[in-house]
Amino acid sequence: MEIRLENISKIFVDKEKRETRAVDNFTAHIGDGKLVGLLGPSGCGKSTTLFMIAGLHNPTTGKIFFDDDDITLLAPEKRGIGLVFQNYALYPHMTVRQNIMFPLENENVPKEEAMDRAQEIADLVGIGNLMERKPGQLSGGQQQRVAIARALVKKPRVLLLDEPLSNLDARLRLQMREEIKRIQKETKITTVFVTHDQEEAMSICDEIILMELGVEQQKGIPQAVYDDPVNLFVAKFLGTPSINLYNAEIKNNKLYVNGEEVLDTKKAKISHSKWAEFKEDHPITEQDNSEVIIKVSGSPALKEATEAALEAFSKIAGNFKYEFNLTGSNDAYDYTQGVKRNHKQFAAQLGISSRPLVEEERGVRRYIKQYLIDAPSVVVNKENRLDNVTSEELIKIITGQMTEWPTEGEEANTINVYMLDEKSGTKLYLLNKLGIRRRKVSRKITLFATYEELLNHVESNPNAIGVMPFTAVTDQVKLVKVDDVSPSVDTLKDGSFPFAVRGVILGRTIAHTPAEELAMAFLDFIKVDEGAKVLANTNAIIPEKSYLLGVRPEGYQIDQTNGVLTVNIDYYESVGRDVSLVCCHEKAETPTYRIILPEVKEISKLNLDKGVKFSLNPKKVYVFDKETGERVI
Amino acid sequence: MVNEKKNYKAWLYLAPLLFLMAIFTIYPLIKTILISFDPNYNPIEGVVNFKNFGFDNYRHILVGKYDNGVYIGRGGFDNALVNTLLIVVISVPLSTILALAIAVGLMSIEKVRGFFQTIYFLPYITNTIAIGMVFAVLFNYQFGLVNAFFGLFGMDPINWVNQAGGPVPNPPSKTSMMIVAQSYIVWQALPFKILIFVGGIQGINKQYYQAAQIDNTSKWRVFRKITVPMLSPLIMYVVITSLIGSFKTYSAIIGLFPPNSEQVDQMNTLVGYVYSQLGKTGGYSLGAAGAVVLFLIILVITGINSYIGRKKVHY
Repeated sequence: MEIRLENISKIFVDKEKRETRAVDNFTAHIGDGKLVGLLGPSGCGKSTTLFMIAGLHNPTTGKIFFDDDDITLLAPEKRGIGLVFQNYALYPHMTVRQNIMFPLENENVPKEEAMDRAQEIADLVGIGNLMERKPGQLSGGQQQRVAIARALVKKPRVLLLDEPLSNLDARLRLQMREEIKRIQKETKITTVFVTHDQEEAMSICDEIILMELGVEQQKGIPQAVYDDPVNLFVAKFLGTPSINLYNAEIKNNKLYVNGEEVLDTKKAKISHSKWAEFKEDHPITEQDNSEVIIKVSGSPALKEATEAALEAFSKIAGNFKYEFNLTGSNDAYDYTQGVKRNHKQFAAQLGISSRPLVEEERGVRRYIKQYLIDAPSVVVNKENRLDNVTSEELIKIITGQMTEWPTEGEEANTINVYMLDEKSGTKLYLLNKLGIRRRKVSRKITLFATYEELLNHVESNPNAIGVMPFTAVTDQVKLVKVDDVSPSVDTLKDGSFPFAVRGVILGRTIAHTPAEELAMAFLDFIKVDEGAKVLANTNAIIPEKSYLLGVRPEGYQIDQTNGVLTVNIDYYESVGRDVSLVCCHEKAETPTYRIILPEVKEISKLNLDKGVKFSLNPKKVYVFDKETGERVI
Repeated sequence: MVNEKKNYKAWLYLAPLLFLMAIFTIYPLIKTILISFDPNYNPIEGVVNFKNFGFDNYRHILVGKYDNGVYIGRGGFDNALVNTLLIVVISVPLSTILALAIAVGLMSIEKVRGFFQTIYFLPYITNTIAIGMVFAVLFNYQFGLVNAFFGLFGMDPINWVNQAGGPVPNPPSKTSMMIVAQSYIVWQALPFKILIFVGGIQGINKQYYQAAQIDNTSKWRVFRKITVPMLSPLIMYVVITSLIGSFKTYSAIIGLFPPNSEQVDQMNTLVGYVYSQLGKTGGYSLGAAGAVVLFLIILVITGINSYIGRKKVHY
């Protein structure tokens, strides 16, 4: 069940006719089965929004849809929602069982069935043995579970949670938020979660919507919002400890802090979300640099995805010419041979700058990483209900003779694509249906050169059905046969051949759609490659005035002996799409996903209050307009 | 915690109140009980004669007395007891249920709630006797609105309370007088109860109702399963206080019926009985016995109430 809020506003009028605009022109789309967090400080309108979805408040303007049904004016009891209140609102005079059965009795469910369903749901939330107690005899965490059980027992279409964890102590809160995530996953029910606690939202939500003063500030995958805040409010609100801010000034395209140059703004990456706006203010002129060469090489992917990327890119970057340089790319496709190649050689073939190998293992990993990203291997396991696919069918699917999965049901289109560790059989995810995701990489990965080998692997590994090289970058995973790939410049130029852009994996790709991702990749790619010139960046003149420089505090550690700062990036476990960083795992098995960026470039050293020198990771530094709070860089 | 050493201080602080209570509550209570056992108590002498101690007074009011072999009855105590019990049994539940219904009704309207709240509260701040007289006029044989109303349906006028204003056909029946008394007592009892219930309902967390609404709960179920249990401590309180209050009904009867009339005697209550004994010879003893019986009844009823309350009330 999908929820769509279209331009909803809520204006409260008090006795003296004063208007309070609690929610202002708010639009959101909450996907089916998603856990979405409405996040913001007290009084930002998040609970009001939730109550409008519940029907306890009516929006002043705007519309609310559940799937395609307009439910804006529908009474709350007809909406089929479950609501968990901040203080749970359990009926104190009823036992747990009576509380859970209450909604069922309203619907005249036969008593036997109601008892069974209540017990079932109580077991799910882990309070099955407390059915005869009264709420007053339960702890806060247990009460909350009862409240969730009562909300879930009537099988609502949507589950709404209003600050459900705020009454719990710190430890219980940690535990319960994982519980909520688990219950949500098990029931697959579309859930809206209101909280003022960023950590809560960041840790369990598939997507967060950050609000202030009734206005949406930013929405997206938690890590992406954290990494790419659109304005000062978002940057300040997210992060514990919070972002550090320094007064800064831009002069001659250089950012100064305390009179010292910190950043060359022309080289700085401009916020993705701000890019388009920025472009409008800084139009590209023909005479500046009319020719842009973008080197595109890599493995075949879907034509549509690439076209979409090019289109998106052209929108962002304006007019540009491109030529495809496929030198060595035929060799790059050679992975079907299953031959391990030298990292440097491989990198050279891909046309990327080769980085020194610190140690062989890491090198191998990196090599494999890039190798695989260009040609992701695929495992479709039983979770995707493909266990009844026969070997012949699988081969047909892989070779393109069958274009659809031979299974029924909605899962057929949502295929998770995994990479497997051959040795342990553990899943090492590579792709899912949204695109590339950061995942654990284990030490040894073997690819299969032939389908036979692949199928042998399947036979011996009960978790797997198939592992094989192919490429897939699109909303719905489609399979492209690798064997037939023999691209030529001509086929690429006339657009008849599907191809992928190597940039996909190079940059930090924070985007919602593959097209956006690819577009972002273009940008990163262009910046990485010295041979390419980007019009946009040569023109990136940011007005000279005072700004605020924001530095994410958890992103660095200061070595007290030499005052040099090492930038770390802490990842929230449930999110993260930064594939280029995966290969940099210090230890692949570390559960914390702490990643030390080897390629942190020293931009500048500057003396702050305590005379500490540090270097900054350009991706964790933001520049905000001092007056408006808008993000500039 | 008050330790032993400082105990005397606590008593010292309490002393003024204890002194007053001893004089005006405890002493009269004990004296009343003593008097009730002395059939020949003389209020002018004011001395209880322990030699005469016995249950004569109680026998007189509960069983009846023979004067020179002739049965002269219970001196009106039985009538007062029956009247009082009728008032208690009918008016307490009726007024409580009505008050609850009105309170819930009041809470479900928004716009003119304040207006209605004031209207319902008016009887509380009006003098009982005065209102009683208004009721007497309402039920007047000739000019009363009630007879006029029934007259619209072609009914013959009823002599409800025998209030003056012209000739009346026959003395009012006991039933008609009881109807008037009950309706008056219920009406008079409503405002306080409504006030309590409205306050109680306002005190119930709104989220219980929102939760119920989302769960598609019918209004009746909301009332039965949420409002009543949540209000149960208050309902208990209201029932106990109004039970005690009803047992002590007196001024209502005085206000409704003509002074010193036969109707007042017929509609006499326990408190009325006790009061009426004061002027009679030997009445002090009987009145004291009646007062003790009233005291015991209230004690027992309250005991039963709190026993039930412990089981059914959700605090």
